[in-house]
Amino acid sequence: MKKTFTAFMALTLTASALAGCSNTATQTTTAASANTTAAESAAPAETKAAGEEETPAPAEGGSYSFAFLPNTQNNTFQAAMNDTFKKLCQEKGYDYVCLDPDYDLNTQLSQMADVANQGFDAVFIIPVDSAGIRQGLEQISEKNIPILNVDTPVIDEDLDLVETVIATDAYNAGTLVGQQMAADYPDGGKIAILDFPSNESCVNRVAGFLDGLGDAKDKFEIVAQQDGAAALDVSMPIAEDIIQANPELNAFFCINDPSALGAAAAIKASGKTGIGVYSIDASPDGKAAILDGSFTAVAAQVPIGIAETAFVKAEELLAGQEIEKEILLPSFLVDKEKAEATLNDWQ
Amino acid sequence: MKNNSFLKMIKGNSGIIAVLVIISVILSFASPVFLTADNFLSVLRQVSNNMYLALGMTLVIILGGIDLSVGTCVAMCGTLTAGLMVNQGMPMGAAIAVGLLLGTLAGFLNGLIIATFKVPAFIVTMSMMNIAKGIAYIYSGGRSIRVSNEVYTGIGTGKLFGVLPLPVVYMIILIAVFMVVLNKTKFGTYIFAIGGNRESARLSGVPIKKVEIAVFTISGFLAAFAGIVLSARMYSGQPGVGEGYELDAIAACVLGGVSMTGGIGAISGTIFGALVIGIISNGLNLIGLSSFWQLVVKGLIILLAVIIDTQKGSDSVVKRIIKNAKERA
Repeated sequence: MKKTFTAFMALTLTASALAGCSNTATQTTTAASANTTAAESAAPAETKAAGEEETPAPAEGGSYSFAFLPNTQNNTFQAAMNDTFKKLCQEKGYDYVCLDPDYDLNTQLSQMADVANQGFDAVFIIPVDSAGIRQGLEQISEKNIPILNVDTPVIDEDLDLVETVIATDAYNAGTLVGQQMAADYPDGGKIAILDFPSNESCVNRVAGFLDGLGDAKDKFEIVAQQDGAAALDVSMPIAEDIIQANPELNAFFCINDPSALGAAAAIKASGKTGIGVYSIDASPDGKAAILDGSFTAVAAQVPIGIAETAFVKAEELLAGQEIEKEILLPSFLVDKEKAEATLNDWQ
Repeated sequence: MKNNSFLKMIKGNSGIIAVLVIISVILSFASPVFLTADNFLSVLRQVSNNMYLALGMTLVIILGGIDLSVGTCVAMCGTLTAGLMVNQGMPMGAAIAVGLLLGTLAGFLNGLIIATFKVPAFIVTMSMMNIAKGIAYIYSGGRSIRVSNEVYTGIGTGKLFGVLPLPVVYMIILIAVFMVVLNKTKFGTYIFAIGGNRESARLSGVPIKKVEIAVFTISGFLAAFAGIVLSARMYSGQPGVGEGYELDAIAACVLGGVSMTGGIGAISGTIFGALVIGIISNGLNLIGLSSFWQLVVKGLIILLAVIIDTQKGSDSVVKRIIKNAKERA
């Protein structure tokens, strides 16, 4: 009885993961019913195929089951990570589940409790809030399930509960953009920053950017710094107002591509030319913006690199090897050539 | 005659107009850019999206209902219209038609369910809010869809005579249409009648069911329209936008004196309400107030504005305090 139930849960969960992991149905227990209905209406063919392919695998030796708990799936960044995990797990015949809390901390905590009870071999997690998931981390570690913290690190106090932190070097990415701006404007200028203070990684990007300006820092005047919420529709009107208030603005630094696309749209709407847009991400949208000239420079985040590294490290860990406590993957500037080469993908 | 109704409009909205003037005066001192023509157009452009939704919401609230689904319908229709063009290669006109139809259908279903099953509008439209959001995510896989078709993006970024942003032009046309509909047509009278007293409206032979369905359908259509214009402005369909837009639309109505219990309200009030909300955001950004403080200040100003507006008819607080003091003396 118990076995059948577990099998049923596994099946529905895989189904939900493969259905795109995009619905907000949350706790795995309720997800069983919610996800099947959503999956049926959304992509019946896909779901069936998933069920047939994936269920026979688990019993074989050396097979693992991994869970990915991102902060959202409403972003190509997390979607690229999910795709990478899914692909790698399929290749090796591992079970794989992705649970989407849609930026809701409470939902993520219940998902973590569910994951703890299901006995996964390893869990990859992007915290909705770096400081808010200790309770969930404890529940998972109590079951001796290793946690690999990816992309956004948990706070220092909670680091003992995770095996490793694997992320893009946000500070490094900011520095690269800062250096590029300093080179583009040797005489300095008036700049505006669209930040996102509630996200640790974004705070580090701004810190890196300011340090990246280096000796030229004093020549730059920050005429505005506002919270663009890392979202296009929030950043656009703010950028419009900043352009209005500062007719001599030279450039925007935005902490991610959606925010920078908002600034670019605002610049176009104002009819002004010659305002630079500097960003961090190099998402497919950001690369297109580099190519059509609406972005001046963009430093890369490496979600696929993070997912690949995390997957390998999880295997090493389960094979009994030691892994580093912190793995920061270096960023790089994406120029037109690089953008063209990988236009529709992350890196 | 014309002059007369204009004066009536000013008088009816004296509270909110006072708020608008006070805020504008303060901001014009605080920021030299605030009163420029360029910034004025910028504010109108930023207000336009909320105005589309607020016009429909005005009808809905006067009817005695509420429509919580408009925010995520913006996302659904914008994302699907963009996606049908980019992913499915549908011609632009057809994609826009499907997008508009989708929002209209969502609104129609809202109205149909509310009118047929007598389920509270709050619950029905809240369910539609989730469904629309879900559809936007399912269709797009949570990813934004970039549109490079310049004719399409021109819908949101173009300018009439090279000056007036198109979203503002749509807004002016829609305002005119809605003023006529609400004030000069039988349909408009029915809306007031139902919101004012449902039972007596029924007894007087008002086709309640039909009017209810029509009003929610209009609201859905406007949400779709807003979604398409916004996606054109953003050069992309974004499944994540729109959350909370319904609250801004409701706030614009209530600020403008539309009664949440139905039966009372005017398009002119909603216009001023939406303008106040837009000017607050714009002004605080111009001044460069930090985003976190902006939330607090915005909340306080809206609260204060509603208090001032509700006091305009009765004895104002100040008058009452003076009166009390005199009596005591």
